[in-house]
Amino acid sequence: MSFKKSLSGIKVRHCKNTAGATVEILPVPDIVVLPMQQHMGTPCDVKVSVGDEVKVGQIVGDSASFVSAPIHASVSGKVIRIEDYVSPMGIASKAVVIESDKKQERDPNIAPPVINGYNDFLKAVRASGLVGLGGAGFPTHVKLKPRGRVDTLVINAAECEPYITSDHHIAMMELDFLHSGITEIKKYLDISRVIVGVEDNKPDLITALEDYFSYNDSVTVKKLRSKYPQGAEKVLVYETTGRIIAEGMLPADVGVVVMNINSICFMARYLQNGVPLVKRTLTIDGGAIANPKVVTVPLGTPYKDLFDFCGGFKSEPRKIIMGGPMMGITVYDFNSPVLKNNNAVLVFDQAQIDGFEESACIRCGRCVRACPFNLMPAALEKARIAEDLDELRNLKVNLCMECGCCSYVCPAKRNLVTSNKMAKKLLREKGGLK
Amino acid sequence: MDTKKLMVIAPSPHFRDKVTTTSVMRDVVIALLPALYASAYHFGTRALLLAAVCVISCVLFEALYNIVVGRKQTIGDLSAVVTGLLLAFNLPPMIPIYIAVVGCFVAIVIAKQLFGGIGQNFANPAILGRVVLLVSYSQAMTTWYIPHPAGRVVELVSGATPLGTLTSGGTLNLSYADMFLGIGKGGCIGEGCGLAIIIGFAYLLIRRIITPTIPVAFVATSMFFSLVLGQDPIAHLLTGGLLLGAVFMATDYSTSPVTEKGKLIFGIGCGFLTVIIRIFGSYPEGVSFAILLMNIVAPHIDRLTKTKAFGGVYDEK
Repeated sequence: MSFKKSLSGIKVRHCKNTAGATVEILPVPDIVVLPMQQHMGTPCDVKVSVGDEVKVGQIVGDSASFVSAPIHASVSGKVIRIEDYVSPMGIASKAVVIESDKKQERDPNIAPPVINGYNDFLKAVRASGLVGLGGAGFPTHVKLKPRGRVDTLVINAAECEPYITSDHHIAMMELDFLHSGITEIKKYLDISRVIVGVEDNKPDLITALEDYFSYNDSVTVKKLRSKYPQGAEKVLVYETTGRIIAEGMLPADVGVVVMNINSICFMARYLQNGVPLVKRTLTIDGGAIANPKVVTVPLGTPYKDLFDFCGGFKSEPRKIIMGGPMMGITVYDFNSPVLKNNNAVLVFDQAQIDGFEESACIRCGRCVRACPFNLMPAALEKARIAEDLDELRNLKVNLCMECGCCSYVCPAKRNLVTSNKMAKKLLREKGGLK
Repeated sequence: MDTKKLMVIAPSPHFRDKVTTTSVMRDVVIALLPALYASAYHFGTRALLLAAVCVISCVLFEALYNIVVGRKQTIGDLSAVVTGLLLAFNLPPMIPIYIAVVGCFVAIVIAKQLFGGIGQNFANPAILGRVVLLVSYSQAMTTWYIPHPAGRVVELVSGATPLGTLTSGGTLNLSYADMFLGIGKGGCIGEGCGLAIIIGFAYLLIRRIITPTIPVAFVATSMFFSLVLGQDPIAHLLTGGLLLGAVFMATDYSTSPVTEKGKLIFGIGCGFLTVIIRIFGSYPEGVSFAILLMNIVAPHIDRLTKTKAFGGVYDEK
């Protein structure tokens, strides 16, 4: 059709130190902490009481709401506390604390789901507890019930954040599950085209996918330039299908369902064995970690167990990041639990937190050139400081996906993306943003 | 393990580019070094003395200003060094030192610091410094010398620079090659050698300090209009401060538009005004005035060239 211009973005150090590692399994932790809100949507209600014996896979939290996902016990043992918990994002909920008996006995009620039709399928996916494992944590069954007709499934294997390798490892190991997951989704949605988007810094995964799906005409592998943030939903849909998710639209409005590769693999496995989401694989890395690893851990495992498993610290830890360095959230507590959407834990040392002091904007325009969505971050910051709501709306601060490219490139180290987040909050409070 | 220190809580991103304001300014200084070398080659130690005086005065004025008004010290960002070098490059070689110092005061204190420091100035400090000197000390600012590199002697020329000759309709007795290299060409100390400026330009592009839009639009437009008005476009390009202005002065971040579209308009405006002033104005050189005038309209260009967001839905106007 027309000449397609690829979106901006930034070249960022890959730091995929654990790409060649073998996935290791963490010994069962002494306790796990299971917050009742690990997803976007309604928090779960606690379904167990202190003193209850629980088995792996047993429901400990659920909600009557559709946009929610149940929480399952990730270890067998005894509920010792139900405590108040505040997530690194600042969301408060209850958390169920289970002391492990180290036996990891499975809930005897676990069985493959019986599926007769689309509604059963959605119910099963909801019952699995699955949320987007790539980071956003949106309940998967909601995505699988798109508004309007969809014809394309875009599978996100971009993994554009530095350090993170968990999707890469899962995909390499679980191509059969990926295939079966795609088949299941195609049964219920009228998908004619499946595109797997992978950044070209993972040539082994690209080759493996191309080989695996070489006989399958409906699945194509799209090699993406390694340019952050290729894995952001709107960017990925545009780069793989050329479709533009305009302001106010969802991927479904342009006929696309986007799913993380790891999420699809898990879903397929659940449909076969009925074991809900009780563990996940994540990358543990960063300048302070002695031996960076990719580890499969029960959900709710306290971070300090991960650090111990990785040989502790080789330099003094100064910053703990849940997620990647571009969009991850800092955590102050070594006992913070691994959440469903937690694809990495990074620990940075002093050298990695230096050089962040802000100085005056020199109007160099780097932020404008870096923004994948063509926003003007420096101008937005000025408008935000002046509380010029009209200007914030005209400059479309609501479209900012908070990828952080602007702050990354700023020579004056201004916290531009933070300013955009504050601007959105300002508009929400003053009634200017839906 | 020692975890007594509290963990740092900070907003993302937790990675930052290595480029800093200081590294940007350092790159600009490096890009100016070939022209500095050329000025020393043509005008001898006098050029180096002028450059040193201007750099030191600019840095001192900025430091003093910050101390007097109680602001955080900013001389570490090296922007005053860039201003000093650029102002020196825009001065004739034998100008009295005190006049150069006055120019530095105007550039740093009046044009830059009084407006809020780096990024806030409405006009390029070095250009404003030069323009104030030009109207205040017209005699000293238009007394030219021809360089004789062999013996490093400079000789007073009665009459005009090549550009002056050119714009008043005279014929030049210099070859294009001499003009390009600055051989036997009177003028400001930094503008003589086109080759040195182009080397600096290439360095700025490679280091991604500037985009080529403004210099290319500026130069192409002036060549086009000088041709239209019946003058030699190559001579216009190679004499006077066109290259120096287009590469180093018009590209000043603070005083040029942010978007590429804005930069294009800005560059074309600079080029057009330069030729108009050169050919019809009372001064032989129009580069400084052209850039200064465009500096003033830059905020308006910015306002008219806002980007359209990807997927943005705009009200029909």
